[in-house]
Amino acid sequence: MQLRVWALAGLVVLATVLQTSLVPFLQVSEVRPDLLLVLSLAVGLTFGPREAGWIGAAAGLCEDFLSGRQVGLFTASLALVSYLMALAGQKVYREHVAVPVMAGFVGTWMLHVVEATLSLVGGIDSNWHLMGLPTLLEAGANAVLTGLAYGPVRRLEGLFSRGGRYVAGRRPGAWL
Amino acid sequence: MRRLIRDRRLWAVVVGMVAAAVALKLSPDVTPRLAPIGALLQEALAPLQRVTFRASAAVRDAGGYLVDLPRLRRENERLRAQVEHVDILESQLEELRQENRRLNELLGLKARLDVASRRLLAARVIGRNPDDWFSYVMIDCGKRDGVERGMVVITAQGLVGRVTSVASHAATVMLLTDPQSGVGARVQRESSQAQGVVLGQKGRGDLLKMKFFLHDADVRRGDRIVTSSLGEVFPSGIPIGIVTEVVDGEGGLVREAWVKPLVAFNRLEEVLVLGARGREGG
Repeated sequence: MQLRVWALAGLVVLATVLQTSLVPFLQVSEVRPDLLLVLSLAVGLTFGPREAGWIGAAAGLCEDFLSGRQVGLFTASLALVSYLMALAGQKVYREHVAVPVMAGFVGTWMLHVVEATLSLVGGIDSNWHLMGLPTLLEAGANAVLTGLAYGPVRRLEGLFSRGGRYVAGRRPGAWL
Repeated sequence: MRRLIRDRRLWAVVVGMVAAAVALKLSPDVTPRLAPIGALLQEALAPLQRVTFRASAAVRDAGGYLVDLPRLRRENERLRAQVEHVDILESQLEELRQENRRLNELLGLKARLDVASRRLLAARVIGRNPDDWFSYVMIDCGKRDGVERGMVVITAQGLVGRVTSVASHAATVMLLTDPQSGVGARVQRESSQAQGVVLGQKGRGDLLKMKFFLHDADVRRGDRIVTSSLGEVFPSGIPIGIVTEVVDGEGGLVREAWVKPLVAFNRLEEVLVLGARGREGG
């Protein structure tokens, strides 16, 4: 399996672990950042829509399993939002720092809307009641975090785009 | 807009979303069936979660401590001041407790001694003879309290001395240990009852000397000495001290004994003044 897939899978695991064991400590009232969304958006802006869809689906599936909710709800929502945001990201100049920040902000709102809509259609309790100030604050937090995560993910993409393979014990500049 | 409508990827997304919604609607019981996979995932992530959770909790606690530091410091200062205040109160309480015990002992003395017909007046020692601690003490009761010259002063342990001068609110008491003091006394032993005079001794601290009237007076080391009924001033039976040594007097004509007083004259704080018989002592 390609190194890139392993690296992205590792990022999903890391984000899942941090989301379940670190973020609860940062939560204020019902507002907490969504690291899985942040990762999906950063990967989507960097690698493209296809990777964004897969990463979103994998991260969403992890969250569905760990949260005990209806399996598929967050999987579909996150995959869709990541894909769409990555698609939109292809139309803009991605080097600008405002792009990932805006993606984090808009992506959060979009995720809540998609999730609530799917819940409504699927006959599941929706989270419409959280729309408003909590979502606004969460969107702000996610925007900042997406802006912070974008740089490292791009550097990671830079390593893979050189088309080489990693040689143990050598610095990144020594990729063959 | 046309480009958007023609975008096949967008249509795929819309179709996918509708399919997901329909799938969610049609398969409400899919989640329980996938529960083992969720459990497996949870099992795999648990060690990592445990480490991160503990680290996060530690950081949160440390952060909370830093945030609380000023408040904790203020609280610490307040509690420290409170502890000091309680220490002072405790010290005062202990002082009052000891005073209460001493006063109770003094009151109990009245029942033990042959002074039932006399009034007792509690007084506090407020001063001492600066030249000789074992000579005189000043007490805080005087004429206004009914104290008169010649009245006997005691503590729960025994005889202290007698009043030699009286002011309006204070009086001077000549202690047993003063060289000018002389008290009629006897051995408090059924087989002896030997009588004599207890005298204060200069330069011997609080030790007293008892001179017996008879050359062959029956006195032993350890005998208890009490006031006798010979004198007019001191009531009979008030404890004075314990014989520590028996010696022959000058020329061998009389017997003498060194007596260790029962009263700790260097720690006198409260005393009782015995009122005159049949009169109010205060």
